[in-house]
Amino acid sequence: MKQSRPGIVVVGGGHAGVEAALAAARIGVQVTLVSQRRREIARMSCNPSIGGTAKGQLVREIDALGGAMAVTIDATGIQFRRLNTGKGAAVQASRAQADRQAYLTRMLETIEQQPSLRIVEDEAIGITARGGRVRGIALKGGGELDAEAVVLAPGTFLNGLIHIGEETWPAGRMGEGPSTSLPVSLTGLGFRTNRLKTGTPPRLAAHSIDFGTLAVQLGDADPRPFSFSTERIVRRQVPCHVTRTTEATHRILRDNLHRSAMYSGRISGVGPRYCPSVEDKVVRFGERSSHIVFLEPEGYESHEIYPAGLSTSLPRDVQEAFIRSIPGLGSAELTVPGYAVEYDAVDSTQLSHSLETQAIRGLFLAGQINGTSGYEEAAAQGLMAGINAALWLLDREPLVLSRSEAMIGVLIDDLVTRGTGGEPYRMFTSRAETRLHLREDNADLRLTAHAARVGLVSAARLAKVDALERAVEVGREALLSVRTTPNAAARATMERVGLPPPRMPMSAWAVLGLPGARHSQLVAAGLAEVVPSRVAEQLEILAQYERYLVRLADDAQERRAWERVTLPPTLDFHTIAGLSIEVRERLARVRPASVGQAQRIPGVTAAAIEALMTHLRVSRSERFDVDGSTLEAARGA
Amino acid sequence: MELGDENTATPGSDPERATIVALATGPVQAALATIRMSGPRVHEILARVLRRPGSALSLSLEARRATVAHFMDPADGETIDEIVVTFFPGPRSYTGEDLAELSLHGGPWLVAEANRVLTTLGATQARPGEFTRRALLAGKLDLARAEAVQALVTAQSGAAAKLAARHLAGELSERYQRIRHGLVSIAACLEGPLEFPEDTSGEENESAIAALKGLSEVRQCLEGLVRSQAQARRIVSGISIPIVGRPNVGKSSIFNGLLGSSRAIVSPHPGTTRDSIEASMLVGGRLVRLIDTAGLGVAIDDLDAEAMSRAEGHIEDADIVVLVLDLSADLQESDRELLSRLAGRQVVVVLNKTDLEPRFISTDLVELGIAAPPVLVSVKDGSGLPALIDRLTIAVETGAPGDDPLGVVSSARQQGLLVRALGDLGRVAHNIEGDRAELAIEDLRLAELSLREILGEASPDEVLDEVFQTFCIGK
Ligand SMILES: Cc1cc2nc3c(=O)[nH]c(=O)nc-3n(C[C@H](O)[C@H](O)[C@H](O)COP(=O)(O)OP(=O)(O)OC[C@H]3O[C@@H](n4cnc5c(N)ncnc54)[C@H](O)[C@@H]3O)c2cc1C
Ligand SMILES: Nc1nc2c(ncn2[C@@H]2O[C@H](COP(=O)(O)OP(=O)(O)OP(=O)(O)O)[C@@H](O)[C@H]2O)c(=O)[nH]1
Ligand SMILES: [Mg+2]
Repeated sequence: MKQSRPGIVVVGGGHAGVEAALAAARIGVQVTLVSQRRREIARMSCNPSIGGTAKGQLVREIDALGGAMAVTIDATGIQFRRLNTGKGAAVQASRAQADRQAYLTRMLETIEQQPSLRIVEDEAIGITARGGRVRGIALKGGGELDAEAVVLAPGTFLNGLIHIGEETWPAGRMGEGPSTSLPVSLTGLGFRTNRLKTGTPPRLAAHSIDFGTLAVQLGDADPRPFSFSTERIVRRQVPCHVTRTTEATHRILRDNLHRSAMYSGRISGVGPRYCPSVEDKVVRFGERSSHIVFLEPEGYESHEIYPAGLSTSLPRDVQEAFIRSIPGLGSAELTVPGYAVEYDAVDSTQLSHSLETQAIRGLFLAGQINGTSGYEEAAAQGLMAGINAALWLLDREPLVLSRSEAMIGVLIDDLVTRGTGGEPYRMFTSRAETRLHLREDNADLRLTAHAARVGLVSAARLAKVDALERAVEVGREALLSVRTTPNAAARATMERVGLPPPRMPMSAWAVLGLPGARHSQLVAAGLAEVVPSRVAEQLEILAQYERYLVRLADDAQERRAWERVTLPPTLDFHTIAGLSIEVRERLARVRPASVGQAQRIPGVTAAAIEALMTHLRVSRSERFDVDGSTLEAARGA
Repeated sequence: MELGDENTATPGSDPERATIVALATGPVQAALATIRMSGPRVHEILARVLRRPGSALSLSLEARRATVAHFMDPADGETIDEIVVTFFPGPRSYTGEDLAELSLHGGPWLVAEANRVLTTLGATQARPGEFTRRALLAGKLDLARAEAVQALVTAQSGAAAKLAARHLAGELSERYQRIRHGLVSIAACLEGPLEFPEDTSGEENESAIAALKGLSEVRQCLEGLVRSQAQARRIVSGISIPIVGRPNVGKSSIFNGLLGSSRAIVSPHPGTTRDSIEASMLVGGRLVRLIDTAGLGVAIDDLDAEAMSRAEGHIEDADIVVLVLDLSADLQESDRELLSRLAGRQVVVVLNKTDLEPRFISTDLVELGIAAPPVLVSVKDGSGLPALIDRLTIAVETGAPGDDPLGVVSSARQQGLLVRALGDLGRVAHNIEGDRAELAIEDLRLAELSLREILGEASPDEVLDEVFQTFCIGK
């Protein structure tokens, strides 16, 4: 990189911004991270935990792609727990309580040590663009920063407004001012925005809680790290506690509903249905007499407890009253009240799959600004935006992950194609057609090659992953070649190792595919060789899921064929015959890059696709770069 | 047909699109024939061919109102017919485009003439199903209904037309939607605990039980629809009635007698009929496929054997079997065999050649297990054939056990997808019980995809929507 080039500016040092800045700098371009406060970089605004269902998958993918979130939580987690361990591999997920302060300190160190990356403590107040290209940003502290590419990741700060009961004041989150100039600049550039909201529970003073009476929830005995490069988790683990709301709690909540910011109608932003406030829960699930509450420590040193399940925007006195009606919290003291925050988000269908805006080249958006919610969702987008901004500067093809290879691919495609539907978007495994494939356990196998190609993962690490892949293939073939016969001796052996006795001749691979079968049992039965545990794990999962994975792969291939039928950027969707005005508008708004993408836009029916295809066929020769064979292959697939 | 979607663009305004024309009523001679025309140039073409009756003035058409007009050939100004015309401006029309229906006096020459005039003025002859296709593209119909339109157009009997009309009214689509929604709810039951293990701990069993219950309901409903296939085939392609019996008993004679024409060759040589011959006729308002088959008995050569195996095939697929016995010949072992093979089926026994000396009496048949009295026929005298038709009418009206007149799936495409959906559902219970909810959900998703394919619809994140409604979750 020539030193004279201005490089990339990343606005916002949240979870999206830090990944974007680190990735771009590591790829080798000059990066300036502009954030309002250095000390708040990588702060977790809400619950002090990373991972969980679907989010765990994201963190593993971020790691496989060379991101920082996994290593940082591995180094600062205080309780690690795997969820859904009794269930199939595809829905198991890792979650860790973080030491909030340690996490951000550690992340700041990583940034400070990263060459080609500098921090500027300031507020961006405008985006400079000329000729459809971004040129830089304007700073509140005065002056401009030139940039060839800008990644915007300002989180919940755009026109942020905090609500507690009847009180309201402008803020990005508790204790930090909002960004009010940046949204003006965005609207000026023609971006559509919408208003969202989210909320957080009060924090409690640890010494005021009577833990002795409460159930304890411990972490896993043998915690599993998030990162491929973490050998093992060595930090001491702390317990969480569990309590429940009572009838008395619910009565207080109901009696004071009119004083809640949400119910008094002062909030216009749309909140997430999957994250209702406690007052919401009491209203919507009125038949329940109790709701669960997890008491999570914020760190070894911290004296604060995060009561998960008690998000609220009621006035402070009501918060205190209902908290004290909960067992163990009888004399609890609030250190910070719960609150709701409203903010502006940009309609994410204005982006293309690289997270670059369609309107302004070189401008990338990532994180909560795209209507998502969650640290992991933000980090995943930040990483991809950082990678693609850097690749763009280097004149290289963008890295776009498909829906069938990564949860991140699903996340970004949903944002770009369907939008968030006016509600904060959180990742769920069920959003992925191929979730049986997009698992935590194989994130490295799926994505390390991409990371190596863009230069975020070393060749040595890729070699390790490749070796694992080969070992799995060899192991599978070995199992396929070993056969059991249903004779008395075989039946006795199988019974001894706890496997169902065979009723017909089958391969060892088929035996491993039986519900609950373990590779170690096959080894004990003399049907398999001992292999490293990660290889055994892959073999078990693949054998169990095989029939489904085969079908999913077929479907994915069919979808890819449609993905290859590209639509020219100049296509005027308003001229396509046989489409309703509504469908035309949707298509024109999203501007799908392919027929495959068009199919996923809500409200675009099979008949509409048929009309689109007819239009393509008719005008293919003169106007479209679709070659006939692809089109026919897609149809026949 | 107006589904009232005011929001639809007028493809009629798209100049690139052809204006199509076709005869909407069947090609048979009827009292009235309707010609349909759809596309951007409908209005322009009408203005050139329609005149106010008794005057040379052009006529103004009111939307969606039947108007009497003279249809003339602009080339020579000659009036071809007095017609009734109805103009439906797009988008509030069947195809979403400008559309006109012209009712002519049904003579074939008139219709051909009118068609010629319209095509000279620039309308193109519609391909089969093109009107429906345009309606589909304009979002006026879902796929299941579009198929009903096709079925209605090609319906050959009153019952088939009624079935198609019901499908068009959306009764079947509604069933599909119910099944689809059922699948979504089951998936949501299972999904909640997977996505929110902490919020839903302790609710898992309850959810699994609810899922299993929903599953058995949905499966029952699907199975009913799949079973309806035979019923649908009977309605749409006709009830299959083979005429079987030994060689030379008079099967072909009866076949001809029922049809009132000499379709099949009749000869005194046994083994005259080799290839089976089919003909359609209406019996009690229902479409029937009458099949004349080769005589069954001892095969002498390969040809015989092949002919007989075809005849046997027809017995397999039959809805009703007409068994012909020759009263002037002794009963034989092969008659017994045939009878035993027909056990449990709807059989009408005919004793033919009553004009000749009988070699056995009706009570001999009771011994063979034939309970219902046989129909006595002499094709030679022409006696007994009306009685045979009466018996067939009763048999046709009785129908097959288990018929469900409302849930009949007549499209092979839909049937295929339903069978696939059932196949996918086959593993769900097993997966739920084996604690593999993620696989059960996958099966449900695949089944739901088939239903969606039937309806030609895309679906939003319905499972998640349901999860949020059903489970109490949150931080
Ligand atoms: C009250 C509250 C409750 C939440 N609850 C949850 C929850 O329950 N679960 C969950 O998953 N997520 C929750 N979140 C969301 C989660 O915090 C975010 O999704 C995540 O932090 C978004 O990451 P981000 O990088 O996009 O932005 P943020 O983490 O918000 O970071 C934005 C950064 O940008 C900086 N910045 C903003 N504007 C400018 C500017 N103009 N110039 C320079 N710097 C700027 C800010 O100082 C900040 O450092 C909550 C957030 C809040 C505030
Ligand atoms: N006397 C008399 N002869 C009949 C009658 N019906 C048919 N026949 C004669 O019986 C002979 C056989 O008739 P078909 O109708 O050809 O018999 P089939 O059962 O079709 O014979 P195959 O095709 O050879 O199996 C012909 O000569 C007919 O004229 C009847 O009612 N009375
Ligand atoms: Mg014959």
